[in-house]
Amino acid sequence: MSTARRSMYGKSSNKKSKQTDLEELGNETEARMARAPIIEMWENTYRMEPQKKFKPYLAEKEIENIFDKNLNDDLKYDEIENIKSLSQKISSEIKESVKNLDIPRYKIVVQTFIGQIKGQSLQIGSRFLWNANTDNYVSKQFRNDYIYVTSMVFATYLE
Amino acid sequence: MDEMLEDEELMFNNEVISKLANESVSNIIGEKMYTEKDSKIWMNKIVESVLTSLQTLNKPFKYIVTVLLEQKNGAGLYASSDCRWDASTDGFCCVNWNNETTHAVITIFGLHIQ
Repeated sequence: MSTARRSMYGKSSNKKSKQTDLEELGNETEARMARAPIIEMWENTYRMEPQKKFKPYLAEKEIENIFDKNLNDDLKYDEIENIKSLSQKISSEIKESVKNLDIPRYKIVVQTFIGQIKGQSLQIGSRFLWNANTDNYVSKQFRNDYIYVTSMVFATYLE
Repeated sequence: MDEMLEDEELMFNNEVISKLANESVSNIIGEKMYTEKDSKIWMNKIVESVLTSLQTLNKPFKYIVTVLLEQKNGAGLYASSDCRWDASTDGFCCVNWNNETTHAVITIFGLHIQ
């Protein structure tokens, strides 16, 4: 009698444990699915050329505006902290304004040089290995009696 | 194994490229003195040689190489750059090179295709 009871209890307890096992398994798989990385699949667009190309003259206008806003004829190289933050500020402002031109699928690189004029000779040059049909660049210079500022914007298409 | 190859292709290898750039500049300028006429020739040569050696790496990257050659005069210079790109695959490398009369700054941007 007692054995029967035990077995009954045993059975029932077995059932419960099975159920709990199943529940646990279910929770485990859910947890695993939640932890599993979501893999993004990119579909082909079958597009050979960009829908909207990078227009250099528009970017040149933006750079001119930013130069007029930030640079004037009296700016000197004395305060080093100012010049450092100024060059970073010009770079980021140019990048933001070129971003606002809203040209999709283009990667943008902006480079700014600010240097002190002390009678030295200087050469800046650049060359690129890219697709000449879709990629382009703009460069602009500013100079006063104390400093020179050169800014270059490169735009490359992401296939 | 395939994953390892993909990672190597994807990454912009900073060490290799900075070595390339350093070697190119040392070969072309070396210990020579800075003159205005020479600087134009040097600049073209440096940019061309860096670009052709980047090409031989045979990686799926578009490259932008910028060279600044300056006479050593005690003048100050600040360079900054800001980019909108894919931070996991694209990168840049900046090399400073000096001799007695010349200061060279070479910047190489690598933008991954696809």
